[in-house]
Amino acid sequence: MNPLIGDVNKNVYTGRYIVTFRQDAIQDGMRLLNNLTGVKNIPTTSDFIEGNWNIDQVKSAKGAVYEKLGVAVIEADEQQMMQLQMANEDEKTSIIAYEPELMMHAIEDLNPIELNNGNDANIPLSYIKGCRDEIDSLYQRLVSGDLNISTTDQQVMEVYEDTSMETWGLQATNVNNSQYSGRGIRVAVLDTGFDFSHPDFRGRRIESQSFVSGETVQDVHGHGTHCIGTACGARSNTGQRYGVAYESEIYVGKVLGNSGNGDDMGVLAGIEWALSNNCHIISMSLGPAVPICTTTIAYEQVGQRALQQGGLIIAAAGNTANRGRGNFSCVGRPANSKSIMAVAALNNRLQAASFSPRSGNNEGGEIDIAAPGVRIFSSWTLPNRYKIIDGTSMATPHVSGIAALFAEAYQARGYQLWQLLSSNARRLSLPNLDVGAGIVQAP
Amino acid sequence: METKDVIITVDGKHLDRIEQVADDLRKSGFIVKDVHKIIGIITGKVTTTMRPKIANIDGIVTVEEKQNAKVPPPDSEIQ
Repeated sequence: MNPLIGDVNKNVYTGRYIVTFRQDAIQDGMRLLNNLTGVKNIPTTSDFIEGNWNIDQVKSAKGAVYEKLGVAVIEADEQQMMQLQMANEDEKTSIIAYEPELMMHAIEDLNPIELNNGNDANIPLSYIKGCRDEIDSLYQRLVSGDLNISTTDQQVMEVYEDTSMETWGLQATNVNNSQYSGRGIRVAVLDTGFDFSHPDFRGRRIESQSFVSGETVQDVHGHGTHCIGTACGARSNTGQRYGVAYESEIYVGKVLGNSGNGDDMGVLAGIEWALSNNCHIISMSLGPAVPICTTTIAYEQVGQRALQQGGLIIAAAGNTANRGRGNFSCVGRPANSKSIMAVAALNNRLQAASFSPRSGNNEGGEIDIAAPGVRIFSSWTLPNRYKIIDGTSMATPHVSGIAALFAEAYQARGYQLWQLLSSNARRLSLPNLDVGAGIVQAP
Repeated sequence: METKDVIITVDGKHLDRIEQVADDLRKSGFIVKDVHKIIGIITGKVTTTMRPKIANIDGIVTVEEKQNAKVPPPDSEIQ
């Protein structure tokens, strides 16, 4: 049944309709509405001074146009809406959708615990709720494989493998089907530098700066070249694609020395440099060797200031967990700042990697999103040229590269970009403590 | 005298006057390494005895100790 012309259930629908216009055709859409429904003189949001809504005027005018949203809410009968639908089918232009407006209610517990009269034991409700939560948690752990108990009811396991065409990580994140390449988007990778002699990057625009005293940007370690390969690379010498944003502009900030060591001083200098170069994405696959769960005010402020300037910082959650031994560790700094996106690692069965930490109790210490981070093929310093390694360091550049694709596709920056990454992530049957919004997906 | 590398976060109101905050720090005996105008961070060295004094300088949100960052050696399977 078409809800537009069906019975309007007064407990569910308000009797008004929400009309969504094509963003560039709001005026045309309003004219169409006027002509067909006779709904006239609808106030638009620009008629009101900011924050000074006159709800009575909206009600008496039978609706309102939200110009910035490209949406109108109007009072119309079914006959009028049917005419509108027919007219728009002919033109297929200015109006994308019309839907009945729903009543809104405060969200309540949809599964309230009802105690029957047999509650002679006088068990407190909080205790029973606690039991329910524990059973929910047990169920989640069983489904996620944290508890090694076989069940016949488990979902069919997804498994990805590298092919001659592309790595498993690009398949699992749908990068291989994306039409975007990160063109025009600046991606800074703060790491051990980059191997400028790597043949896969010939002809690419690369800006660089070393923040390690006495060392050039040239990568001697390999880690930085691997991360840049995943975020910004293209194909290997055999034609296998392993990089995400293959037309992005690469900004190499060397903040970790050839030994793999660095400190906050260098990392902060690298972030400042990336922002002063208007980088849209700052990828940081680094952290302390031991879990440091406490957050810092400095990184929290830095993350916020970056977002305000249109830069999104994406950081590895760390490799400090040992799930096999029941050690879930915590999200390390700097990823454990609220304003910095923390990335967890998944294996090719889309399970949390054994080393990938779990969200902590501290504010900001949450896993925000997950990405492929086990057996990841990417570029390495010559003469090796390529290497397959594991780590949340390898998951992070998947997210950073995909952020570049979203930045290109939607011209989104900062908070908007974060929102797009989260809302488009594919949900997994795993605790969100482990994978946040789920596995990142390319637009 | 023992010195420590620290990271100083400057508040939003003082971002456009961050050089002034850096000067005030120098006057208090703080050795400025970098002044980052965009992210509002000043890094440098301070002696343990001077540290409480610099924390009270106008425009400073907090003084935090530097931590190291690292990645494992190149031959490690988990990076």
